[in-house]
Amino acid sequence: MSRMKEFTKGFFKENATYVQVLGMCPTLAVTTSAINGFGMGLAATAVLTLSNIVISSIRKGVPAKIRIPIFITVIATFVTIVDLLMHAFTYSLWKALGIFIPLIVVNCIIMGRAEAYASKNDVLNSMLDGLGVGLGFTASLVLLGSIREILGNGTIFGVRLWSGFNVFAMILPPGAYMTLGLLAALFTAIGLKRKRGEQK
Amino acid sequence: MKEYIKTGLILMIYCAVAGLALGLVYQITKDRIALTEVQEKLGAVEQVLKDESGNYIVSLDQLRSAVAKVDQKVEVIFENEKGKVFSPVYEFDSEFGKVYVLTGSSLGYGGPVTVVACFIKKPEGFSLFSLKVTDFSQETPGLGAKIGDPEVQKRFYPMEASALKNGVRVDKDANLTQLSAQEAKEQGVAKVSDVMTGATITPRAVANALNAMLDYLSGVKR
Amino acid sequence: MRVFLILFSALLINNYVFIRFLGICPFLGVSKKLDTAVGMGFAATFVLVMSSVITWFVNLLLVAAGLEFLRTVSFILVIATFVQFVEFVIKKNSPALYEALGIYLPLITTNCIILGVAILNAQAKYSLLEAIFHALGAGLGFLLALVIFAGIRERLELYELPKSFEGLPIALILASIISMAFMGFQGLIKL
Repeated sequence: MSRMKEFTKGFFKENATYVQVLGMCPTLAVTTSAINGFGMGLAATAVLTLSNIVISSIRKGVPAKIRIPIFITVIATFVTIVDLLMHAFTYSLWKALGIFIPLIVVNCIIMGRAEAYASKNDVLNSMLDGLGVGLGFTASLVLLGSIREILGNGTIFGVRLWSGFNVFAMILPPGAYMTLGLLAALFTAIGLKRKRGEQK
Repeated sequence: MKEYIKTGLILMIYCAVAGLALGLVYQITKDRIALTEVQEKLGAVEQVLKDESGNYIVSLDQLRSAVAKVDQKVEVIFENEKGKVFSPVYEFDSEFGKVYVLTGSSLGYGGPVTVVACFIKKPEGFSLFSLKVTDFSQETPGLGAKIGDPEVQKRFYPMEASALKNGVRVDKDANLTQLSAQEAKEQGVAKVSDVMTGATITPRAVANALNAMLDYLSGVKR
Repeated sequence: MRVFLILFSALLINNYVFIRFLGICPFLGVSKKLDTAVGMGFAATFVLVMSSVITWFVNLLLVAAGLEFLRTVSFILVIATFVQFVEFVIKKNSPALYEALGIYLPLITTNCIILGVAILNAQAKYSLLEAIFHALGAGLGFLLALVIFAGIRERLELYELPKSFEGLPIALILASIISMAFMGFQGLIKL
């Protein structure tokens, strides 16, 4: 049961994007379409899960003083591996995500999970934690990307829903901030409501 | 002091392991990456050689010979103040005349915009048969990045040799926004103001790249 | 001429915060007060320019050795080391400056602008001078974004907002509006 919880907490209670406000740069930048958000989310999930596993398994052999540089090395290694694999096998997605793939290194979600969770917990839990938080991040990106793609382009995952009507600004940078702002407000409102419910 | 050496050593071991792992993955993916890149380039060359109904204007044998060239090193072979032309240059014979496929680039909004274009040699000059914008990754999504839409790219071609005497311009620069797309092409003008509202720099980069290629070609002719 | 084009393009037209979406976390995190925003902005600009110079030379080595795939790893390690080093030096030599900037330095390592600009420099094959101007533009653009944003947020504190919009949501919506204004710079440069 508790293992299940390690996995599911990333989706809502500790959702990285809307609740913890982490990893904002790729969230805003690559969500011009649902598929880009999905690809970015999966890439980050892969890095997060793998680095969580490795960091958790080496946690006892890492001197506290130099743990940050070691964590960075581990994360950067996995990021480069994902980068190389995407370049080789998913060329168009790799091109669309561009510089944001290497920038997964400085995504605060990954460093945050390594420091706060993987360095203190066992391998299996760390893996579940990585998967959960990563997929929660992916879900947020797909949600944001879908809204922007539907409103801005009239398509979802490239499938045309309608034509002739689109809010062009949604694809542009202001649309990214606006959509994320409104979604964050929605999540806060839901959170507040829940709290009130619990108090009663 | 001993403490320092110890931590340094540990850090070095981690870096070495990471480096080895990366080297291994790099070796495994290297060929595949090279292959993908080649396919991408070849795909663009193939596409600009197709006419509207999807038939190649050159024979398949010639196309195969192009494959051998794709792998060649990319170098700048021509440069004017606004654009560049890269090697390799593909040359084909067809029933319409000599066909050239060139790669060129010019500075767009956030970085280079790369264009692969097919020109046909005519007695009065070169006509633009087809083109594909292959790299616009630094352009703003929704604005400049609309250049990736094939319908937008069609506003640039085909253009007759007579229309290209003074090169390609974008309708806004030529003050000819009132023309229809077809009328504009007859004057060497690409009408994009209606399909790419708000973005002028990106289509201009495409025009600049085309002009660099035309300059390069007229040099070859001489 | 080209260096100024790069400078202004990074500063206004392609502002890293509002248009290119780099460095959002510190941007949302430390933009509540004007003076901390200014401190963070200058600290980031300094680190940006210096790390661009260093990574430029590192990249030179990597390209010469044919090890470009190690770019991400080596850049982030070099940047992290450099930031640590700067922190150490400032702490030793100028306690006043450390007081002003020191607390921002650890935050800067994980600021994606620094790594982002370094990688973009390498990808665009900028010369050393161009790289420096690019970094300078990016840093000043970051400073500008922080200062504008902090100014508005300080005033916003005085107003009563719907509960669910307090904090992050209203900040993001504000950023959306400023970002719209920055889109107006698109026509600034004619090539």
